Amino acid sequence: MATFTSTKPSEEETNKVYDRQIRLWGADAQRRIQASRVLFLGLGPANVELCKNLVLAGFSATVADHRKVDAASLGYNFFADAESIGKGVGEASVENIAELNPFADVKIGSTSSCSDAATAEKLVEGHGVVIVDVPCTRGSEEERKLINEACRKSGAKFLAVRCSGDGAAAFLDLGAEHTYVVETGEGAKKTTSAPQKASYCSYADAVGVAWDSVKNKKMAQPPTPFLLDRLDALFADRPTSKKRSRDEGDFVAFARRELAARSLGLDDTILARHARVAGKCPAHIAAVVGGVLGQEVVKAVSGRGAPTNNVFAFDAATGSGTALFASPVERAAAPKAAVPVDAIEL
Amino acid sequence: MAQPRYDHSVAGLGEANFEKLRTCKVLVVGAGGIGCELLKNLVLVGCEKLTVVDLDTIDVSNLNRQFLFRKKHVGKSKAEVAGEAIKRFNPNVEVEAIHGNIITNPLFKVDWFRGFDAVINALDNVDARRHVNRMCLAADKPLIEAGTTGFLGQVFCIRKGETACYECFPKPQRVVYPICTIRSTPSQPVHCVVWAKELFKLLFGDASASMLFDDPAAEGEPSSFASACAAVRTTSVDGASKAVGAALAALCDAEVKAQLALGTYKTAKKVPTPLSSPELTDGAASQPPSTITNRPADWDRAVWTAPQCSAEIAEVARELLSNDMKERLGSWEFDKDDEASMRFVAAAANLRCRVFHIDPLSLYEAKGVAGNIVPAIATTNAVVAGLQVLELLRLVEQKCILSEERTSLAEVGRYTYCQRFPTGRKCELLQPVALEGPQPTCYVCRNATIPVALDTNETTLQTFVDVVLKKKLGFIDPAVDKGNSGLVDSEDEGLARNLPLTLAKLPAGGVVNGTLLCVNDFQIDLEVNVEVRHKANKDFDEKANPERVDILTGAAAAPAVATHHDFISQNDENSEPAAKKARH
Repeated sequence: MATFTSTKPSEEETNKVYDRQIRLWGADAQRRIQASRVLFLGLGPANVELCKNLVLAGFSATVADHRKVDAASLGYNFFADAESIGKGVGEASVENIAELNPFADVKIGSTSSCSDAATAEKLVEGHGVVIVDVPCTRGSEEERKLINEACRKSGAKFLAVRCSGDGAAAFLDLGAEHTYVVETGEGAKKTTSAPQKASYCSYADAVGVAWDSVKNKKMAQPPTPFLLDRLDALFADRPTSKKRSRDEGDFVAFARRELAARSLGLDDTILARHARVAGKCPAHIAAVVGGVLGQEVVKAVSGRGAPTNNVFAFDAATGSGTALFASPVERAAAPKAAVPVDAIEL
Repeated sequence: MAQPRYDHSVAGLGEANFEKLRTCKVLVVGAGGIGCELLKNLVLVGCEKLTVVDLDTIDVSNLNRQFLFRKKHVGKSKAEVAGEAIKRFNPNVEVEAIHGNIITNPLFKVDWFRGFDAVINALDNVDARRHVNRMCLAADKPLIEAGTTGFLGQVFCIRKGETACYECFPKPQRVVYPICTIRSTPSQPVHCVVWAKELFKLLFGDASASMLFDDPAAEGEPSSFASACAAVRTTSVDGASKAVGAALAALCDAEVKAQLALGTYKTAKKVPTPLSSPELTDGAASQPPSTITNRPADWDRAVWTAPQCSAEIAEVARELLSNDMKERLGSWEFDKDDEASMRFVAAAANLRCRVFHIDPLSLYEAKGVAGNIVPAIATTNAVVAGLQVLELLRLVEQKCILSEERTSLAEVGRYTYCQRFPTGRKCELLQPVALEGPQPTCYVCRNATIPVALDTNETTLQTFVDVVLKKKLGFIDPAVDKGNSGLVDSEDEGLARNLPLTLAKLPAGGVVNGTLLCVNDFQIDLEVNVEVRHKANKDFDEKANPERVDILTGAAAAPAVATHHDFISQNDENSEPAAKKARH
């Protein structure tokens, strides 16, 4: 496979380019970032943004996408252009991704699907982070579970994100035991905590919980983007016999049924709108989601700061981005120092 | 029907609103960290009529996040390179890229702002934000503002009469250090860095403008270091080590001893200790850390010893005194990105720290302080730029712009905080709150009278114009009237003679306690009343307020913020501090 790297740069040279971020997260975090490779499965709207953010930060990247570039994808994939319509998404994008950062190694990965644990393990091998852009992969929920299990086995951090015109939902699995430190204060007053541990449940466990349990205090029901994500997952995986077209009425009726079965409900206007914008994600929404999740990946790999455990939901209608917890085990009481009461107050 | 490339936008917006967005004339001010992300978002979602302004050129330290730029673009105009890059993302876009200063360029009048449907700021400093805010208020255009600092950021909308404006709430002011703190009583590394910059000016720049300069015409003994410092500039390259050694010995040994003998530090908590002269003079002839062959990559992270500092300063002197640099002597200005001046300042600040028992800084740390470097990353910029476009789409969808109706932004606008960790009871990483309304105390959007306290017997009209009106209140070319009589008007030469007079001695009864002045600036279309209150100079705390001026209301009333990002110069990305928490 083609790789795009320049000659090995001197550390002094990279220090100059990374100066403004090293001043933020320190030299050690920067070294960990540069030693880490991210596998982007599906170069959809969210992964285009994540890929830009993480390659700029110094991560190396493997991009894999089974699709061909089409005209609509030019609305979010700025790595491809009109001339690349019809070419493979990976092939069309890899050169421009590599150009973002001559110090990062960028290559194309395999686009074959994973039918068993062994192929999933092979796919994940060599990567510190795996990010699935759900609507832009062939895979079903089952395949994502296989990939996640392979990540848990190899120690890779796992992220699955689904972005639409309404917002997004993302699942993070940083493993059964993720170690990190918490920093408080700035400059000379900065203090670093002793190592903390957080435990993440598997993707299978996270998506297996009762939907209604995934809400924060005082929420009447789970945030809309989370419910829409779960409905999309069910809708996409419904038996083939029932797949006719994805027209508005189909989805609305389906969603209403599934929600009612769980004693939940969403307004019909929300469902009807979602039927139109599911699978469509304008670039700016991807930018918001890719920015927040990019930061979570930096937290995860650098081991600095408590990353979200384990769901992030962004609602474009309200502008709210929420951290949620979807797990069969009780949320561990956070150690006192782990989450600073007001991390951002100086 | 919109082109297929816009499918993702049209799905949510509908054809009619998409068409409005496509033809919406958007001004983007700034093509840096936020600007690159913003421009990308705008052209991808389908905004085809863009104008982008930026005065800056591309630096290598931008490349970790300003992703429209490559190494080959270093030194080129940000606006122009960004404009070219986004045309490749969407060839339908008409982009006018202007390399220029939004504040001073005469092209950017209120009428020019009226030509846009929406203005989006992607700026890194308070002055430009304040200016664009005023222009948008004057032109009655919505402004979508954003700022980031490290992991934190915020996005909000402003529109005249509907929401709070940028200046409704206090903004951090630049810290001005009292001259005595710099010359005699430093207590923080930043004081030593400022001293080092002043020393650089004294040796190689406009010496008479340095805080360390002693006017030969003034009464009293000149400082013991004056002649030794003056000698550095006139020496030859070969004599540089010797001259530098002598100057440093005078500064860090003889002068300190002299001040101790004079009893300057009799009541001080910390008493300085002179450095050893031989260490400095011998050190000047030793190997400078920057020239060590095969120096480690983190050589700039190490704290230099005193002799190493001396050697480094001598090395810089040799470089600046060399024949091909000679003509710039006397005009050097400190620039954190100029290696020689940065090495000088790091070394000199280090020595100064040693004298005053302050932990010395490495070159890397000194650069952060001297250059007011604000950490900046791609992710935070991506988030706020995405949220800005989300707000723009809302303005279109909710009929705030491009519509016969004019929905108030008070109803649909949001103030969104970008947090590093889940915050508040909703555990939000992105935390939207309602926008505040215009604040009655705001002199910019509510024409509130500004009370200003100063010593009317000591303050000249010139100082009043420069410090109060221009620096603190952000006027560009103010005209000042007292009742019917004009006091200041740059187009009336006859009035120039007023400038050296103290306020109390001005014609028509003077400007004294209780005088109401009308200040008018056509460039920013702003007229405000200033109520002068007399407060004797001796009643000001000189340390906290060396300018001896109190602005008693509005954005300019904020206390100075003295972190190591001291806002003295605002030449770096995103120096607007992100809000610390939601106001609600």
